[in-house]
Amino acid sequence: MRTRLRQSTFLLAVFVVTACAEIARDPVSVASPDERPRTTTTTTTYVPTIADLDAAFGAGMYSLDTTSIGNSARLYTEPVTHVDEERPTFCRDHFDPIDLWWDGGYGIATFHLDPPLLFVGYRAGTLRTGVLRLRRAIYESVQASEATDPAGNVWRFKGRFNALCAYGEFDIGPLVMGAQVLRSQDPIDRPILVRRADSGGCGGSSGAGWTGGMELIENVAYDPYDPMASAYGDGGVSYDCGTTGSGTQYEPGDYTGGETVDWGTGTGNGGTSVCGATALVEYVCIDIYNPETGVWEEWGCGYVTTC
Amino acid sequence: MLSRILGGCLAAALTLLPATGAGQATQSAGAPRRVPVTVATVERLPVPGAPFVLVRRTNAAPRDVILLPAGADAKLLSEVVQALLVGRQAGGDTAAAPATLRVRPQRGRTSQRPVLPWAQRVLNDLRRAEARPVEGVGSVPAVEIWLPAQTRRGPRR
Repeated sequence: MRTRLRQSTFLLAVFVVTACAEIARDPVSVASPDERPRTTTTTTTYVPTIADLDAAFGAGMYSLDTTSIGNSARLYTEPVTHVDEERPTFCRDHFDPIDLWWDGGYGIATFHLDPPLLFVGYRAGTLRTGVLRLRRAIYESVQASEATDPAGNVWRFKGRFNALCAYGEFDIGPLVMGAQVLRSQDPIDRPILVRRADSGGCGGSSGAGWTGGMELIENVAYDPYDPMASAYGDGGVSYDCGTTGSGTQYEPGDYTGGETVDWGTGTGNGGTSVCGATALVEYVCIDIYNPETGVWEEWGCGYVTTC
Repeated sequence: MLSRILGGCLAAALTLLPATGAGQATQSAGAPRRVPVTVATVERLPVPGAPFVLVRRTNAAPRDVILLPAGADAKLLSEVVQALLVGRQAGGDTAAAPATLRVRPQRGRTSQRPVLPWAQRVLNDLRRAEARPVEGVGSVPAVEIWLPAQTRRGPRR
């Protein structure tokens, strides 16, 4: 009897230790970044459907990435920081295009952002919408996208934007599969205005607005020995697109689409670049050679357009 | 009759003067908007270690001179043409002060500059060119080319 009692006590102790170990397991300590969320397709766990996504965001207002490259991408996890969060959230890089909306004061322009859209980091808090629990995050596009607002202004965007993301299982018709839903919110990096609607031929990285009044030194037909530019002369086209320019603040590496920039500020000044659509903004320094000392002395630094 | 012929010659000379490169292109509206630069090859560049020399002058004609080493290729000529255009964007189509300058790119370009399609043609012509006096340089093979003006017409912001 005594031995039996001892055995029972030992078994009870083993059971308690095992059970406590299971309870004490930290649900947020996902050790491996490649570890997937536990598959919980049981009858008690609801798997969001496309209808749920449409209800939460509106059809066509979100991007669902079910690509194989996406599903093999690294997951970014973050510990639970709020008591109302019952489990950690997961997001990852996104490999499906997404639309991003922007109102620069002339109505909404829609940028179509091509993948990859890279995960940058989480913002605090989660958002519940219907059956979905989404994480606030920052994403970044690596390819520039252009959009036209209702007024006809052309904007260009590349960079970071706020988004809502959630990685998990989704019921996509006949399949239940791992996927990430991403919903863009607003740009963090401000889109730049590359062509005003009323600017005529100035600006525009596509070069579509170019009037043809400029000489392109990259053109095979350019004759360097001809002192007279054939496009000019009496009754010729105007060399300038305007006297004020687009005023667009360009950064080094931006394509202006044909407009020149102010040396001091880098803003579009309405001049016409000899590089046309390939006009690239560079920040350069100019040195002057001092023949007496044999030393190059800095004359100044500023913004220019080059081919 | 004689005065008519002389008058016609004078008018023709005035019309052709900018085209000869003796002066800079005029800045008036409707006028040619190209500015000349003389490209010359020298045996020894006046600035040690420099791949080319770009000289802007105020008191000599031609005002802008590119000095290249004898073995220059189209890529180098394209580089120096771009440097001159940058110098003209910064300092104007006509230099305000004489200077030998160079351009140091800081930010913005991650790719190589394209080679201008007509650069090799200019180099070929330069190699065939007879030596001629270039003020301040000496008697060297030289050709004159014309580049689009960089300074905007109208008020600057």
